[in-house]
Amino acid sequence: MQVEMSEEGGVAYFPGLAKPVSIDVDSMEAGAADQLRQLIEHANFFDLPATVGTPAKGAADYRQYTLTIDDGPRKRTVRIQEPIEDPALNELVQAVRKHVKAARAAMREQLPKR
Amino acid sequence: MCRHTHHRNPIFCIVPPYVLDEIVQKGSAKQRSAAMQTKSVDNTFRALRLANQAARRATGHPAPTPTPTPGPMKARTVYTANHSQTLPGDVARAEGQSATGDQATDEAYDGLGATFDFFAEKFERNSIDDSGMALIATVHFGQDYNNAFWNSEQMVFGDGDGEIFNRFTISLDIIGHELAHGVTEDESQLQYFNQSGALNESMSDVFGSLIKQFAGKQTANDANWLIGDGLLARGIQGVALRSMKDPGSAFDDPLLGKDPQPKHMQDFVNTFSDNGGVHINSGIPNHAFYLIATRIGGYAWDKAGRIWYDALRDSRVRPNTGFQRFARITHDVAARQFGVGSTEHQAVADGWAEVGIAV
Repeated sequence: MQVEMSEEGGVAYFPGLAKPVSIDVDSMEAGAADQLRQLIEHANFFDLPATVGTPAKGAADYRQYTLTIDDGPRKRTVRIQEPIEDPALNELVQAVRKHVKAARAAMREQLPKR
Repeated sequence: MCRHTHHRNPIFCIVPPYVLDEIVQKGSAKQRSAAMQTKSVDNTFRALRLANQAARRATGHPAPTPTPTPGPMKARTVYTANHSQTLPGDVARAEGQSATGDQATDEAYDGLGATFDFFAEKFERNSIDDSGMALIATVHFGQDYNNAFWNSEQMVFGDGDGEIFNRFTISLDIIGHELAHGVTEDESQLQYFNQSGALNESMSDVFGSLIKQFAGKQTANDANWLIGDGLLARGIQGVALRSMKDPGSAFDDPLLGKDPQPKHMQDFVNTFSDNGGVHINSGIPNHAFYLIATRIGGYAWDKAGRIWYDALRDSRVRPNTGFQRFARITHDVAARQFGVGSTEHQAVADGWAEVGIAV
């Protein structure tokens, strides 16, 4: 299972953060992978509409995530707008963000220092 | 309310007066009597509205409210979400209370105050809606939350993750930026998408920067014109989120990428990302403002800021207004305020021309 997330919006646009980061769930440590699978099922991710959340009129600088989960026969991309009302989906997004953050930190270690 | 009760209220129904006239002329006796009564009440409201409009036009300010007030009064409340995502959270500091010792709470409180004072002292504006709206901010929102936003009612600040961002209350111009979104929504409802969205963003940067300059008593030439300096965490290669002086130069970091802001129409970015590049193309009007303010010299809020503020309130600004239309309005406003052919009027034309927009 592949999970891919990009992040945009917020008070500034950062091309680096808008680049999608992929996580290979199958190569993750078993406990973390199980937890992620459970959160995905719990959030009914594969049955969600293509976009979730609409910002209030006049709102600004809110963030948006694009989350794609590819589980072989099941694949879905959902654009999620903050604030995330659905607690199960919010839990999933926060969990994925932690993995993305770790993946970014690892990528950063490999980048040449300037 | 209009259609399902027998007691119709013209203020809710907004029956056009010519329709009421028709009823008066052609209706039954009962209808005529009802319509005439309606119209007399309605006319009172229309007359009041017109009188207010005339007063606003004459002074540039809203007509005084009937009840005497001691002038603009701040009504700040800073809440803490205690790292949850619940809004507004628990009260951390209310108006008049002394400092709490919590950095984010006190910075938000002071930043709300600085923003309120700026609009009150420089533009005689009584809070975000010019009617004394309470200023509400929530700090400590979410876990390692890397953002600050305006949810159409209040400001929200994350603490940052310490790796990319520091706490979002650290920059006064970010606090001013978020509150200015409220002012823009109140005055012009610039749609948060494509060019009108980039103009909306630019308004927030302009006023955010002016608030910081006003608090530090900096002239246009002394100011650094950075938005969100101090916000990027140690180790990130960059100085701020954006630079109005030199858009595109604020950061260039392996993790964040390079500052994507253009400063000329020839580099305008067409994209579906970021609501059509609202935080990207805002570099163009941002830079025009910087150029105009530094050409005029002195304190940027005195002249360039006044032109921008009056242009934002101009009735020709529509929700879909783009750069070109706004530029023309600033040019007109400058002529009205300082005279055709004045230094200020010329500076506005030159500043916009330098970013590729002819007024």
